[in-house]
Amino acid sequence: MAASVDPLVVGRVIGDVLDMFIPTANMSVYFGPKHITNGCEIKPSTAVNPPKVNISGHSDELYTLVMTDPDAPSPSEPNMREWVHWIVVDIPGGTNPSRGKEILPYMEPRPPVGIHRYILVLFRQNSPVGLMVQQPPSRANFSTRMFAGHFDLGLPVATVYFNAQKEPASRRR
Amino acid sequence: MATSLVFLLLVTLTFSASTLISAKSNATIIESTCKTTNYYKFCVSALKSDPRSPTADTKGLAAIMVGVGMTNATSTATYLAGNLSATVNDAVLKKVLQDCSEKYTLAADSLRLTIQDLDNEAYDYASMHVLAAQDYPNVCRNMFRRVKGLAYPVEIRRREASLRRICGVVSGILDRLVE
Repeated sequence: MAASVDPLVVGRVIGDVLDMFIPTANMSVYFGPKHITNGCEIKPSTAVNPPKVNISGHSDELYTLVMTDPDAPSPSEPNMREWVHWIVVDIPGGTNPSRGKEILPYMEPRPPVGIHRYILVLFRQNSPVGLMVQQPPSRANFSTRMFAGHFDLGLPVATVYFNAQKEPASRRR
Repeated sequence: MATSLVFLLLVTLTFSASTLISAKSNATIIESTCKTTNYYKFCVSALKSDPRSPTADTKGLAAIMVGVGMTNATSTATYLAGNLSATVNDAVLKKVLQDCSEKYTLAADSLRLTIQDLDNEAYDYASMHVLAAQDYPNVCRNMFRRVKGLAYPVEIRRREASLRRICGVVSGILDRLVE
């Protein structure tokens, strides 16, 4: 069990953002053709649009997806931890976020300084959440732990994270 | 009499020539700074129309642009709160307009923090604050979208696009400062 979350411990995802959990669901994340595996490097220019996310589970289950950056504005001084990029709730099991309710629209990674971790966290809901959830007042200083606690989401059932840093000027234009 | 006139003419010509030369060299800073953004023409015209730009460095130009954004955001917040929501009888629309006004006020606050960040040369903070300012108008638009049958007013859409463009320019200039 511990082996399957090791990259998350090593990457301090568990600790900085999440508590130790046992993965009980599968989630596959793709930016274009690139499959996201823990700690892989993604160019922000390839992440302008939301990733394709497929989750396991039964259609009568509902899931919440959160994408968050604990390294805002910079990993050495993350005073805006966390910066939340995307929140989708009420995603039916076995489907993808387009079938859920987008509480907070996707914002692409734009790391100004340093290498940031971008974490996608999947929770299994106990009940439909859609009408109860308001958009957070600000993307800064978000707490995935508190959000999960507030809506009784429990521990994550799946998580994956990638790294991104600012691309050199010549590439961005 | 004639010599003093000629002398006056020469002084005037020299003065305007030197002003032209220094104005031209700073026009180059404005142009090269704006080249790093995605809105070159808009960036150049906005900066050139500010009296402080001839003597501003890149950081100063960023601050000028942030000021333009603050004006936009504050005027939109006022427009929504004062003019629009006061004249509306529909309770749902009134609430949306008031919430939207709040979001544009938050955008202006974020931009004010950006100025402080620029003063402190904390460009990573500045980048995040500009991102926040750019995001608040989206929240307003989504509030309209959530209400069935409620149209997103053209005037607000125009102001949203304007603020996004201004923030885009600031982000572009900040990218250059961070490098």
